[in-house]
Amino acid sequence: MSLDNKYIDDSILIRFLTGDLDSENRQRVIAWLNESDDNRKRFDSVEAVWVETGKLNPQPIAVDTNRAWSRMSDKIQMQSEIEQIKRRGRSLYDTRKVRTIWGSVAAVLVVVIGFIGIITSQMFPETIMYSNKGNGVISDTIPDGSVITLNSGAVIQYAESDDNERIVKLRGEACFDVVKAREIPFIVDTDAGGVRVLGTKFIVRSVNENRMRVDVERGKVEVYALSSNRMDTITSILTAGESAVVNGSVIKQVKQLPDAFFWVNKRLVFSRTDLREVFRIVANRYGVDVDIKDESIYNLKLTASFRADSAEEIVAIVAETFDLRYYVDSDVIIVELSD
Amino acid sequence: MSTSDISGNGDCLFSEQEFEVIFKEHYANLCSYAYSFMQEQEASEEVVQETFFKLWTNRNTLNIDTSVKAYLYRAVRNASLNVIKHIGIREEYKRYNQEDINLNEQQDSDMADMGELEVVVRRAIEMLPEQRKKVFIMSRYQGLKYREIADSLNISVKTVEGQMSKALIFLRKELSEYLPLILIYLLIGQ
Repeated sequence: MSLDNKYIDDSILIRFLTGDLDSENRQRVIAWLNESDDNRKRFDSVEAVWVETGKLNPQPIAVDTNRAWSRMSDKIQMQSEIEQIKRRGRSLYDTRKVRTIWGSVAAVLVVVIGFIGIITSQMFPETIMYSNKGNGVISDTIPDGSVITLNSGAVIQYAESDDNERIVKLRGEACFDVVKAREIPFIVDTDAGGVRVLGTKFIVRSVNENRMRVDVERGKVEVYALSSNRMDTITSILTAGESAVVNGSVIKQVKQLPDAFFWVNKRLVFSRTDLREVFRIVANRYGVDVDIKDESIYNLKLTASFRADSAEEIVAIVAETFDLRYYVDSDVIIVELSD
Repeated sequence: MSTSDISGNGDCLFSEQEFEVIFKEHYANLCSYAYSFMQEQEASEEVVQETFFKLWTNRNTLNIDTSVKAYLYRAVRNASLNVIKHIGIREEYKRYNQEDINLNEQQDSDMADMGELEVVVRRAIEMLPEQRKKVFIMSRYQGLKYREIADSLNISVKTVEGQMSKALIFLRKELSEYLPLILIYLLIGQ
């Protein structure tokens, strides 16, 4: 074997084939090829692969089949859950439902986001899937006019069944502003249970297969979960300003947090809340520091609601309410007693 | 397992496990088929996803008169053409494809029963690890230089070179049974 041969390895032969070789090295390869039959055969074996892969038509593209399958598998899972809810929903609600003739309205299509939406709606007029993969909050109006706002990471699948039940399958956190319904229940189902409504605004956060949380801003909803024997459902009614947590087969009413709706519309609702807590939430939600100069300020109690663009707007109103003084020093809002 | 023999006339049923096998066997090739119409990867994958989803949701009622495979190729072609028609992406491809529809229908059946060697080659490429596959495809099919691949994937030229070598060596091994030229080398090379 010649000395040159040492330096002609497979990667140089491949560069020769891909055209990633300068002319000097091309000459070296050619000279090396002419040295021996064995060299020639080694090259042939690489070239054969190159030629054979080149014949493919249409050409391959780089896809991740396993990831694609896990996406498909999620969709199948959700689909079968929706089928189940449809069946369950039908038997649960048929007896109570006062039917109106709303009849011949066919399943309405919704355009999801651009391209993908068009394909989806063409092929599946009955099932629409939204997901929020970004960090922000997205909002959309579904065919019945209700507005759904998805927090980061939330996924919903919406099916309008033949008899016009409105069912949304949810993973993650979403806020529902439900159009007062033509006697058709609006159902949000999660792995842990669900919520049934006739027109209201509320948040559902599905945590995992056993836990979810519901916060109601307006109207009245019925929260349901499967009983421990999983044979029937337990329910609890919530009205405006109330919240509940479902944990397994227990529905527990809890105090609604002042910032429950903040991610949806920057709403903060305080009801006899100490300023210590108020400023903690404001600082946390707006990502600022609020520095309280006097301990006595902490125990003042605030009842108010806000939809403010900045922390300073809120601090200004609080300061005025309690006759306090505030100023901004670089990134810190400092609050103190006036004199 | 081979899926091309799963066919029937209306009572074609498969379990989720069988569906997974069908999906994994055909996904990549169907994507590249869709890509040949749309020239847009994301849209191609979306069309193939939706086609499979439709196959799954309609598995009890679907009337498939040939094989599942032939059905998939036909469905992907129709969906791709639909997308092009409805969205009018890339006018020139639309024109190109309309002229070529007959040819594509031909290709359709060719794809559905491609030769043994082609199946092996495609499967071998599919078996490459993700990044290696990407590098190989960019070099082999998109005609990109090592430098360009390195820049676009944010890796070094050295890494591109290493991935290409590993890819080709792997493919050579996988194809050795089918390509006599390779076999000879491997025998001598021992």
